[in-house]
Amino acid sequence: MRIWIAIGLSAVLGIAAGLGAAWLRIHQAPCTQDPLREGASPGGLASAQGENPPAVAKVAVDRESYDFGVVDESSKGSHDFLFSNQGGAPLRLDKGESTCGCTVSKLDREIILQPGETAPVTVEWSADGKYGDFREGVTVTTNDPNWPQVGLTITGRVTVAVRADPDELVFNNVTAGEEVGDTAKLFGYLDEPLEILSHRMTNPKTAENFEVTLSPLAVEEVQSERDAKSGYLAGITVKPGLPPGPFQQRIVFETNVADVPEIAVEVTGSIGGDISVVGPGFGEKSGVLHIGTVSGREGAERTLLIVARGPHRKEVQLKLVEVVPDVLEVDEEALGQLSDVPGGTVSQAALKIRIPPGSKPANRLGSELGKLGRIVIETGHPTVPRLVVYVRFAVAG
Amino acid sequence: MTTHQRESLPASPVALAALVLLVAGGCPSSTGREEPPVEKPRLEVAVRVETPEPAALEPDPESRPLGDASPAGFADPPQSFEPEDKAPLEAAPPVADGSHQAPTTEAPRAAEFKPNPLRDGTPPDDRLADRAGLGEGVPRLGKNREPFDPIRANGRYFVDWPAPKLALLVTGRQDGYLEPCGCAGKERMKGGLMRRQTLFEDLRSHRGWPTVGIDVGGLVKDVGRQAELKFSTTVEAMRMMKYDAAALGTSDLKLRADQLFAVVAETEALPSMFVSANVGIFGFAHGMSARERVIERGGLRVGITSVLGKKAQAEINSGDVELIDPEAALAELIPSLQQRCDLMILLAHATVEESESLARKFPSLDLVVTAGGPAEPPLNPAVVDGTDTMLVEVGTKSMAAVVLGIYGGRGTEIRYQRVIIDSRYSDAPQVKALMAAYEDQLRQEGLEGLGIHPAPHPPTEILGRFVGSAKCESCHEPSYEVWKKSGHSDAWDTLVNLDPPRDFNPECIACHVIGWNPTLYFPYEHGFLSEAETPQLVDVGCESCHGPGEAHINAELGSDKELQEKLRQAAVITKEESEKRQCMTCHDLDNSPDFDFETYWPLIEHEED
Repeated sequence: MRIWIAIGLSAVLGIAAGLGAAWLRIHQAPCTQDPLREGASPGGLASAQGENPPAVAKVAVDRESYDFGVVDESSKGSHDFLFSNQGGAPLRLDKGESTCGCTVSKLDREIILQPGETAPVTVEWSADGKYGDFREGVTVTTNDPNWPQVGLTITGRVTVAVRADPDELVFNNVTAGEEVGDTAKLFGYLDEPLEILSHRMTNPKTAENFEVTLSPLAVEEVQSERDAKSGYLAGITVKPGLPPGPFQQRIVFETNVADVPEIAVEVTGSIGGDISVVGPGFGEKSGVLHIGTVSGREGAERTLLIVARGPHRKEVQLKLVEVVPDVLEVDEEALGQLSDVPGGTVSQAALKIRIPPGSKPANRLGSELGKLGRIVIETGHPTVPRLVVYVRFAVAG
Repeated sequence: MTTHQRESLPASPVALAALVLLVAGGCPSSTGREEPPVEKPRLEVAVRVETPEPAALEPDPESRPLGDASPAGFADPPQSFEPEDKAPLEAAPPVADGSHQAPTTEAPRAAEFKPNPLRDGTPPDDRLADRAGLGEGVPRLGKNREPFDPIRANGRYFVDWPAPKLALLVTGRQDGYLEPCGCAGKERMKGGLMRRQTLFEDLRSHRGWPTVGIDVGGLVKDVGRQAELKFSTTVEAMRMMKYDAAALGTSDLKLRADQLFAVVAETEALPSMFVSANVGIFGFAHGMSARERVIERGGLRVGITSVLGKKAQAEINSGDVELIDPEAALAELIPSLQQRCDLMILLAHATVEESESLARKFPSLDLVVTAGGPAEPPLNPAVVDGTDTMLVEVGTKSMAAVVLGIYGGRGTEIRYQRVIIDSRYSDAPQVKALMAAYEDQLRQEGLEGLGIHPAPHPPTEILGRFVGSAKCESCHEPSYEVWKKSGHSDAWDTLVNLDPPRDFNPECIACHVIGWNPTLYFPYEHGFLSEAETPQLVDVGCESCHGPGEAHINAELGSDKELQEKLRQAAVITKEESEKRQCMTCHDLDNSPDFDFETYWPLIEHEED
């Protein structure tokens, strides 16, 4: 019996040993790793040599991460990570890949460490204008079978002299007569208080449709931004009069900071209609819902939304006026239920279009609008009294 | 003692016996803590980390064979991906980007590195001579001078993985990078939709693993028409890849809601991959927004939902979108979802801190994918402190994916593999066709349709308008010759000759012509508009660095010596100024990863008396 237990144990152990994968116990890799987990001194590392190391290369590093603290956006730096060979065979270190950012491993050639030897691997970085928390990494590849890729992480925080937050304001689907606005905070991070000397619009053609106001930020607002020392609140308003379609404006603020004489806030968005039809398969420009060819036996259903915006949206009442051909059906009850989007500034109703199962053959394919199916809806809106949705479809027999 | 050593399979009998006990089911909790087992109607998981196979000391005969390295240059490695234990995929044709030597068809041989010819003391003039014929016999300049072997750099994947019941392929934060990290055709770069499709094919078709694709959102980064086209192109590609669930990110929600809704709305006829517990475009009442989903695959039921974090919600300034507090939304959905699935996943488009907080609030979640975190996901998975929930980061620019192997049933493991989407994955032709369609849409829209308008160029007030490099030749012939021999004079053809061409893509045009802002992708007034309208402004010409030349030319034709001198001095750029303000605006890490200023400067350096 004992021999069978021994054989079974050996077999299991043999299989386990042959798997060749490393186990990582979860509790060793908590999500909240200490980025500054310290390692032993080189003397401590060397002391392990007297313990009969196995005859393979065994890599050790004094630390896996380094925090460079707070630096400004143009700074560069480097740190030496101390690698050592605690094994019994030569250890090869080579450069792996670094993150597509600011970290470079200065390992131009392969390093070979004999057992007990120690050597630095220098990692360089450049803040390169990246504001905020910084975390990049490099990989050093080794011939240690248990640790073939050593990941080194550089962390820190990059500050800037001046920053706009946000640096882009987006106003989509503004209706033609609507005025919208938002604010951006301009923070100064130097001891000398930030001054905004002037501002200009880079797109003079639409400059008159944008208004900018400036006021100093309250002390508590400045203090709420990490490292900020001073600041302004820029109020940006988009006034009525822009043509339909996308718009873009760049507001450039001139500062008193020598290294950053200007900062900009992008204002983008679009001017849309008060009422629009949206949904999968519907072409915004063509006004055509493409259904394609469907089986007469199975029929088809499509749902679009009718969206109302702007100052007249409360006056909108949708009423079905015409459906051509009569093989198309529209759910009039759903159409009449225009409801506000909670927390939003639009109302919507569903336009449910159906080709019932058992429909007779029909062909409304083609490129001319007049030959397509159409659904006409009255809206009650003072300037958009009617909607026409064209439907491109065919029913196969 | 060292600070970090991975636990290898132990060598001592005692340790091996412990392993036996582990295997036999005397398994401590996955967190190793002393606590009573948590009874949950779901899988318990232990994590096995798959470490890449160590780089071989001797050349690995199974590694990607490198093409024949000629004495003057290096060939690119073949671009097709060959799974280690499967029949090779049919190699996709290499992308003809005009800047790489096509892989040779010679029999593969062991990797061999050749010394960089630039280190042999060859003088700059001879290097210029070597550049006769772009892409042929041209030394590979720059920081990364050795031929690139993706397997050597990033390791092998899924080593010794038994076939899982289910593979989860996790991506996110594409940030508008439809192609590898900025530009086309660079074998060192990572990511891209075309390669991602090949990764899916590897898992599904070649390994035969049932696969679920999930994405934590952030498909685009900017707003505007080009971003809308990127979004719809990406969604189309993700449909091809058969993604099962995707979240909406902050930047996605800044697109026009009409356009967004047309792509993401869920209908019976056109199912959507998008799912969100707390974001409803035009609200939730219309029933066209899926809030959660259960996917049955590989014999498992996978429940998925997503949330937009509170910090991200604060950035959404849209009256078209209904936003619900993430915790309130999850409190509503999770009890029901929990009853219907074996594995529960949250896609949290939120910071790491917010994602961890949600994991602690809802400990029944097995996996939380976070949109927070640094540029690349970690080599190893993490578990949220105080929970059994795995936290997965996806990095940025979709340079990497994370593949989780689910082995099904209670108490089985999850294997974790970070996959750098590198050049071992070839460009899938179906997705490449989508990319071509996207570029064609940009062409059809034109700058006007994309909402791009020329902006005033302040230097124009003094320097006049852009005139084109040909106007400079007669007075600056030696400098013109230096320029003509440099890559700057071929910059436009580089775009035209790409497959597909990029000559109508503002994000590419900006660094390949005269008179554009290279980082914000818009033309200046009197700058390049199109090859047809402004042929004299193609390529990275003299004025790309020296500014508009009209006033200078007019002054030289006049008699005002003071004005002549003033404008001459205004055009001078030192090497230091070039490095600080000029070159890196285009030759950044995204678009020019091999760029080394000191190496390239001699190729364009010129001066006039």
